[in-house]
Amino acid sequence: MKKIFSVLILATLAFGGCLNNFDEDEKSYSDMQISIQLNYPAQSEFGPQAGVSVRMTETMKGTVYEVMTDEKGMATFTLVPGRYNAVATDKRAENATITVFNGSLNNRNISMADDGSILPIDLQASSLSQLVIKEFYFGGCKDNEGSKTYQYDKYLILYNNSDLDAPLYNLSLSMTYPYNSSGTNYDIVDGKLIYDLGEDSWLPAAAAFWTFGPTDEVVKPGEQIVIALNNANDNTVTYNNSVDLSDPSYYVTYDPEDFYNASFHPAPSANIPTSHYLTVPVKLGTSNAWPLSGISPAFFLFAAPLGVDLTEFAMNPDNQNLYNNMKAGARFKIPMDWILDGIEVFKAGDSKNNKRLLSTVDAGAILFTNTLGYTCYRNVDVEATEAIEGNKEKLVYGYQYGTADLANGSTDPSGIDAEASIRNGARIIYQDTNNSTSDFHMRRQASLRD
Amino acid sequence: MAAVLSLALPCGAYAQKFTVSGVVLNKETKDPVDMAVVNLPNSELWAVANDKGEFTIKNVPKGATKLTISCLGYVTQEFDMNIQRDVTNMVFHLETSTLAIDNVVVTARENQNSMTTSRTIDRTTMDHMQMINVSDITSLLPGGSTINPTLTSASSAKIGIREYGESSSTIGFGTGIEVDGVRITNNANFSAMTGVDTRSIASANVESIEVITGVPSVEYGDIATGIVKINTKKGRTPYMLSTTINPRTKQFALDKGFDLGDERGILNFSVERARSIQDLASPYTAYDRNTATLNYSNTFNQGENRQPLRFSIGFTGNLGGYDSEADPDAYKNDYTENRDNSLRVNTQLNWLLNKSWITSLEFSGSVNYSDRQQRVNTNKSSSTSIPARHGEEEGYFMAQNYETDPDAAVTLIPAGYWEELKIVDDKPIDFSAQLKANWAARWGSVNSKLKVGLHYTGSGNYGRGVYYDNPKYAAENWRPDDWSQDPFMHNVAAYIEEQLTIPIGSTSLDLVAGLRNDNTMIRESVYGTVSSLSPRFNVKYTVFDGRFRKKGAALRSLSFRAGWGKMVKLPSSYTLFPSPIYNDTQVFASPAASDGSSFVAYYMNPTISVYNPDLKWQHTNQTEVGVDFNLYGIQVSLSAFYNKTVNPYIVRDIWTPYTYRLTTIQDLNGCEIPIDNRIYSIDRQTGVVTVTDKTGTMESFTADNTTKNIFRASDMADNGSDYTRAGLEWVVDFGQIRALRTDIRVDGAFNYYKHVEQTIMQSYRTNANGADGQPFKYIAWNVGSANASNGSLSKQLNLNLTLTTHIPKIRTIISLRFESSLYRFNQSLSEWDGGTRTYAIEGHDPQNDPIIGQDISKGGYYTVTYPAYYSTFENPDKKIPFFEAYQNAKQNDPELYSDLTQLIQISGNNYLFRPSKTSAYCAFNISVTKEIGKIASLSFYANNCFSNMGRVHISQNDTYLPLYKSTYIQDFYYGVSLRLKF
Repeated sequence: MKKIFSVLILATLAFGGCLNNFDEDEKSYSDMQISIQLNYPAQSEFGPQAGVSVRMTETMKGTVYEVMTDEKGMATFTLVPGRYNAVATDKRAENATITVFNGSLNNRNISMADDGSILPIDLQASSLSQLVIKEFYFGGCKDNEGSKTYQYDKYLILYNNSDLDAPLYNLSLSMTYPYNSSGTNYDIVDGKLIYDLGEDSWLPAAAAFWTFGPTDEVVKPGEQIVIALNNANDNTVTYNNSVDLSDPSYYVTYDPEDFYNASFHPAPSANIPTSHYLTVPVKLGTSNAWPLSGISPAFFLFAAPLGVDLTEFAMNPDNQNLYNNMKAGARFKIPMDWILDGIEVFKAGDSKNNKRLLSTVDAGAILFTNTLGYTCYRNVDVEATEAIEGNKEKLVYGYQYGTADLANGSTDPSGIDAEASIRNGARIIYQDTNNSTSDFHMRRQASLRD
Repeated sequence: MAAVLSLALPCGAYAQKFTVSGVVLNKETKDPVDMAVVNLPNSELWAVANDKGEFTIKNVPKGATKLTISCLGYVTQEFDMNIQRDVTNMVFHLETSTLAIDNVVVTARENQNSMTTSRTIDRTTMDHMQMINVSDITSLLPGGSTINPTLTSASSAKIGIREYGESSSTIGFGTGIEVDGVRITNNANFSAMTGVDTRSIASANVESIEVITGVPSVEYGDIATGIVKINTKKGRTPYMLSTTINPRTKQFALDKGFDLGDERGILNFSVERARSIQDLASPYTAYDRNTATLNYSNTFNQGENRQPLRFSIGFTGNLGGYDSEADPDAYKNDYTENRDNSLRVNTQLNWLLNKSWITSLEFSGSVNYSDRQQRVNTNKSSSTSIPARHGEEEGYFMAQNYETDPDAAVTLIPAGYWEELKIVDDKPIDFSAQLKANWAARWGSVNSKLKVGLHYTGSGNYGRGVYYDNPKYAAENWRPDDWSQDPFMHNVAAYIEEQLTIPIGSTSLDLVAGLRNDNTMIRESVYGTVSSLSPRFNVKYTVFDGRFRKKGAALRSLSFRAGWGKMVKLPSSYTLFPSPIYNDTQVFASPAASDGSSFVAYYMNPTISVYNPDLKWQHTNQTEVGVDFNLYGIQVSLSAFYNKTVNPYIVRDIWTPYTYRLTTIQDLNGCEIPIDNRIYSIDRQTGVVTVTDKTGTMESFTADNTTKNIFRASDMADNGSDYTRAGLEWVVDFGQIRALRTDIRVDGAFNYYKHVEQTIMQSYRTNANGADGQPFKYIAWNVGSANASNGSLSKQLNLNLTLTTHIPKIRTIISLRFESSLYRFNQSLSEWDGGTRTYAIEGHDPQNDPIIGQDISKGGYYTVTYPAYYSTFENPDKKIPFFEAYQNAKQNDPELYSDLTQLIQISGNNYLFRPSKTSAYCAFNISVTKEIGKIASLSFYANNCFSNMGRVHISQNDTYLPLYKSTYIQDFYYGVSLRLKF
């Protein structure tokens, strides 16, 4: 009797314990409903509309969810708990003026307790510029033996995406500090970047920025300029996987008074005239090379308005700031309205990437794998490009340089081979929504090698 | 004084001399133990037993004396005797040293007879802990922590006695290591000021190690904190084959002492191979040690009325080093090879003259030569030419192609792929010779021992220094620095020491006073010959002597000791001959040709070390007090020490202004010569760049240039601020609990270290620009370093408990060791006697947030550290007080204010100066040794056997760190050792 009794008690306890486990297990795998509400700026003439794409990415596993908003600007997702980034882009055209609204949520932990809640995303209007970053090649390539990496062949291609001449007056190139996206970012306080101040926002330009200076040169519509960021030589002689940057029409960032490191900034090829040198007005810190990251930089272009002396601007201590009080993190504060375009790169495969560019400059980020010769190339805006008269026949489809087959790879959704089309005489309009998640893809090889 | 006076008195009336003789036998077999040494330490007399085990000592003074009998492989015996007449026919029995005997110790044994703190570690202990490297014994010292034995770490192979707080790069510099009386020094090391690397010393051949940590005798010079004396096996032994294996190391050793018979002496031979790998997953990168030792020892001139002479000569060779070549995971052809080969020859003579005016004469000499060559091979490539600067003269130099002029000051490494093989040729050699005379005498009941000696050491380096296999591909900023051209360092020392033992009633007083005079000679050195004096005193007062105390007394023994001494440490070649500094500034770079080559010009400004006429020799003043007593059978030994290292060596930078001319590519814009025909040249004095036409058709073009102001660096050896170390060490031995056959021993140490560097040192912001966009034009004069803190304070309390269970019947000994750190305190300091060095600020913006008067050591505030002075390019020697000038510039001179802000160091967090206390943590180690029959002995140990997975709390920023795989306790580790005797 006693035996049966004790066995019964034990069995009950065991079952009870298991039942509890069952419940919890179910809960941790069950879905929940999260809604994202897009809030448009108060003073804007545009309001919520249906069909705006909101994309949520789970940072640890990389799963992407995409839902369109309803007419009230709300998108409802069915998700599992995790840590998410959310990005929303709404492009509105009125009378040939294009306004883009961008907003994002970064590294937001969503747990079962958030089931049924509504998360707001405040959209901010951002303007599109004439000169856009068409290609940003910074990851380096492998040497001829395939083991070590060569990273001194970085370059940037700027493209005039509009119909008017784009001036190069006071155009400058810069990057943020921290140089990389992973690791702790002390600029993020309570989930917000310290320079996200609405109208008074600024972006940090670390160590130094390269400028064309007060030049009268312009870039014609549909034309591009190539800027070599480290050396401007024919690298393919030594490294077969690299690029040849010694063309006389190319530009180079070269200022040996400030940056004279023989590996990072060797003398440019004699083919390149000295008028094509970009210079540094003021250097902060003690480095002898411009430390552009080869892994995950946040790069942006800005142009100071007419009459502003960039040297004076840079020397003014009110325009300087220290990252986390570190002298090595000395940087300039570039006002928001000077900024033309930016690209934020995240390291692929890393679960903790932090955004450094504000949503109005770049709401998203492109995932990138470095050292293999890949590059960040802008997607083609299919509608605008096909709309141009006489273009459709010259466009080349069947784009093969995408990397969608690789882990964390991406490709141009338009399927248009932009370089081949341009060689064929077509005019390409690139997609620009100030959101590099949808505007860029990781291209298998640098376009200068095509 | 007493010794000098009594020399004048006739000795015969006061000293009655007798003869002591006897025979030494093996306790079990009753065979004679030949080569046993019978020692009378009070009168410095000894004799060596002949092959019948017989010995005779003449002229033994009347009175009480100690008698010790020792022989390799046997337990040393000690007796007290009172010689009143001739003593003959004594029979002594020696037990073989195995685990079957009663008295086995596997911890460090305190030397009760020593005047200062001294401990001995015997072979049984070393076998039990499976010592791979002699530096492993530091765990046996009071408060010591176990480190997992390995040969792949150079820093853990250094022994630092009472060097708590020393950084791992300089630890061991002040501790002397002696092998068979031969000092092994690191003075001829040109690349670092660090301790001796003990990895080349074969550990299986060591018989005993004595660690002296108190104020040592004046016969030991050139040390700062302590001395480790390693004695290798000398005597007849059976074949001993031992292997020790732990996860990363394998060691095999074979040694034997051959008796050559017929009084021809003993030949000890030993070979050892040890190999340690760094990473279990990739067993290619390994450190090897292959050592062979041969030692011949004999006693000559024995017999009645003769003066015996003990002689030994030894040769030790080691082939080994560190090699990563075979590693398939490394880049193709990238490898590092470190050789660690050495040859050591040493000889010792000990002649017992036994006269009334001299007792014995000792001579020891040695030569120690090492080859520490390092080879590093790297695969390199570049798409543009790399300018390689090799010039050693001042001036402007333009790069040349290597083929045009291989000796050019700047050559071009062409674009493409190449292999760079860098060789560091390090061949240090040390000589040493010492002659010592002992005179022991007795006046009434007072025993006197006088020691007079002469000691010579020389050190130098035959190595070529750093050079490259293919000079065309030598690294960008390499200059030849041939160490073999630097003169040798010679040191001649003379010392005298008197030890008096005065009985006062039933107590006795020992006094030691010694004086050592060191003279250092470096030919052609501006430092010339330097002389120093080191006095040392020790006193020991024995109230109750355990051997004579009546049974049943509570306090069975009690003695007090105190010592004071000054120890001078000679600088190494690193301080006396630092490498020249080459300041190179790029002044021109030509546009790159199609092959990627660009001609770069430099302004070179080499500087040699500034001679410091006020450089003083570093010395340590050491004070020690101790008490040893035995209360109810519990043996307690306490020592407290206070060491102050005065005038430690530092090297500091001196910045001097200079001007150079910069030519840019834009300055070449007017040149019409086609690129491929250009030859660039630069005037060595003026720095003006000229372009000439190779074909001779066009005119030469002279480029414009701009003037730039900058600073160049040189350095100077100097003395820094004092280091203070203090501590307390204790050992409490509770004796054996008979029933459990277990011995309980508690030992621990409390250590204190404080150092604040207050020497004003210059610093400069190289590569930085000022507010005007030009190179930075101010020098900072910092208190100590330019960092936020200039010193630290640390304290540590360690406590160890060892339980040793010894069961002679089954010949087993098991020891369980509990090591704990009870208190760890660390604090960064920022102090200046001339004012405030660091201020707390309100927020964290050094320019705009105000200074508040908070105590920085409480934490919670960001801090700013100001230099003491600054000086300008125009007037570099005028020191302008920084604080006032900075406040002034804030109001009146924004450009100066912005520049001076670059010289301020802001703390990266608000807790930098808050004390950091680490919570307590512990680890358990267990070791077992079992003898199997008479032939084999097996040992096993497990360190951190319970694999402590706890956490420690760091109070500085309130964080928790896991103990697993941390630097606090050793990782879980184990090892097995098997020794065969046949």
